Amino acid sequence: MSADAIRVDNIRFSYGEITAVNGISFHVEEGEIFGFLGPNGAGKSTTIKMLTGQLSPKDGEITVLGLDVTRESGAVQSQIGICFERTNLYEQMSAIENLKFFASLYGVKGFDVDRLLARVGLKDRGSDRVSSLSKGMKQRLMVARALVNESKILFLDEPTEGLDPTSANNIRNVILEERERGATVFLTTHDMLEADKLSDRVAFINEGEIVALDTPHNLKQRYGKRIMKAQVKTDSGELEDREIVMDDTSTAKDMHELFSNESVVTIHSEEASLEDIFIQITGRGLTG
Amino acid sequence: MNWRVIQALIVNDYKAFFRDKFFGIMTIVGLILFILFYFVMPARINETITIGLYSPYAAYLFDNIPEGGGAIFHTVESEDELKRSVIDNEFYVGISIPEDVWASYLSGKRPHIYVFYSADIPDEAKEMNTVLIGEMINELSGNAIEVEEVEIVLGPDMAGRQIPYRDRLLPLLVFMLMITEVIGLSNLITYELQTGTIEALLATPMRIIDFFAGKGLTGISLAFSQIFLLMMITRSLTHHAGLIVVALLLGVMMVTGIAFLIASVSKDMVSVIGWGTLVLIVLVIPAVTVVFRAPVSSWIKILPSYFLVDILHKAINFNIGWSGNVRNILPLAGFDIVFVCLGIVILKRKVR
Repeated sequence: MSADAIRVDNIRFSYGEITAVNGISFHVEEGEIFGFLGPNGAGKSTTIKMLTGQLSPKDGEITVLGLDVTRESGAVQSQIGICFERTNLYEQMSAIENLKFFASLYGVKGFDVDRLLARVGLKDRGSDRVSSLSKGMKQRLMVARALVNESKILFLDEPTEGLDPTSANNIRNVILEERERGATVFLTTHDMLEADKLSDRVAFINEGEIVALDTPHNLKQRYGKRIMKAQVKTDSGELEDREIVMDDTSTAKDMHELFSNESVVTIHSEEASLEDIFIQITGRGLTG
Repeated sequence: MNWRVIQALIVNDYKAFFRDKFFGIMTIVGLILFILFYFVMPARINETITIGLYSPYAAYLFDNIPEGGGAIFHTVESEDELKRSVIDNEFYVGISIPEDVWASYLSGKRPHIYVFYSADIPDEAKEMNTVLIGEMINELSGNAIEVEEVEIVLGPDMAGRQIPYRDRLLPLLVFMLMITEVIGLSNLITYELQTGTIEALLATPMRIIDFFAGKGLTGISLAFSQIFLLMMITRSLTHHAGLIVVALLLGVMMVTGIAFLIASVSKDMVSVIGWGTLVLIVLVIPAVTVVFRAPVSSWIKILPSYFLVDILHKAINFNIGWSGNVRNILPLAGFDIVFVCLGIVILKRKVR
């Protein structure tokens, strides 16, 4: 069994009277892509700030790479990379200057800026000022900045939010490459499809509390219903939808009746999505 | 403190500072203009006073006036010419003795002597000239009071070597350079806060103490290098160089603390310039009193910039060294500690 890269034990944080994180506990294994999912304001960014030593929890303990983040934030921060939700680059400087500056802060020797820019698809734009780059390019540069120190853990806060498909896909590929390298990835997002595609395990956070945590497959097994969706032609020639719940005692009988009595035009099975499960557990959607 | 991180931050700040066209151009052009301005100003002061005389009926009175002692006398042909010359500033003062002066005198009346001044002569100068002319007439008429004057100059005797305006201007130029850099440094910090780059910096091995050290050293080095260059080029470090350098270092440290304070209350470049201008107006007051030889009110002596201006003025223009400036160095160092500590504490709260 892998060691824990991150261990969180009953942490809390509040902004004045408002409780942002309310006693959450979880662990992330080394080399794992851990999806941290929830709607805006659920406590994702506050959690990531506590995990990276930017905020101190009011209560509870956080261990990252075996170090207490509150007491040894410097040692932790030298071994992690962070991609912030908000674009915070030096706009009047070039992409290369931004990356070289951060590499010098980490004391990276033999830093290969061209290779890193090529990984995020910005090789030809390295000398351009950041202010002249598109939103997608800036976001890819933010991801590249999180990679300058070849960190053991990558914290990515909504890395693909609002991006064009090309940029989003590029970032997803980088995340998978990082896992191949052996890095642990802590990914917050409210894009459930992305989380499903990338994450080894996901945690649902809602109103500061973790409401579910498992692999996407197990969550679907536990909470989701497999459905057979069919389109049939009625006597009047119109198309109508039919749904049969699978894994039920009446499934075989319902299927038999469908094919015996109706004219089936199309038929396919459908799995519950993580979004469906989130709604089922919390009673609210992810965009709210 | 992590010196590698601090060094990287300073290099980045210098790039960012000069990449900003406004501050880059202001710094370079400002320095060149200040140096040019210094050298355009006259290097010497004309210490002689030219006095115009009109006295057609008593001209012989002035025949034996000895010239020297800083006064040059010129006689003119008419009272109108005398007035015109005074208005045109050819004469500092014009004296007209009317034709009935002797008749009045002999009849026991007090004769009138007319003294013409241009409109911009201060009252003190008018009073001084009135006394001078009275003494002169007494001497010419043989009624001089027989007293022996003993001159004792308290402080450096500046007779014959009055301070040129350009040297009086130096403390003001120093402050103008300092304030430009205060605004520049405040703008750099405000940018970090506004855009959230500070969040990214503090998530690296950089600690907040490294951040303040980096920003502080950037501000100090930017301001000091320019002021030092100004002082070198204007040859103002020929006397008491050690004292002047220490005073300037204390001065730039003080304004760096002020830059932290400005950054903590500013939201963007416009508010930085607004606050910076307000600070400039207050801090340059002591330097302005030096330029215009205005009396120094007691409230000016509590301004933090007063002590630096006084050290520079005394050291550069009066050749007064450490012993005469102890009373300035200590309060200046005190203000340094206050502003730097206050700036760090307040800005740290905003960063957090």
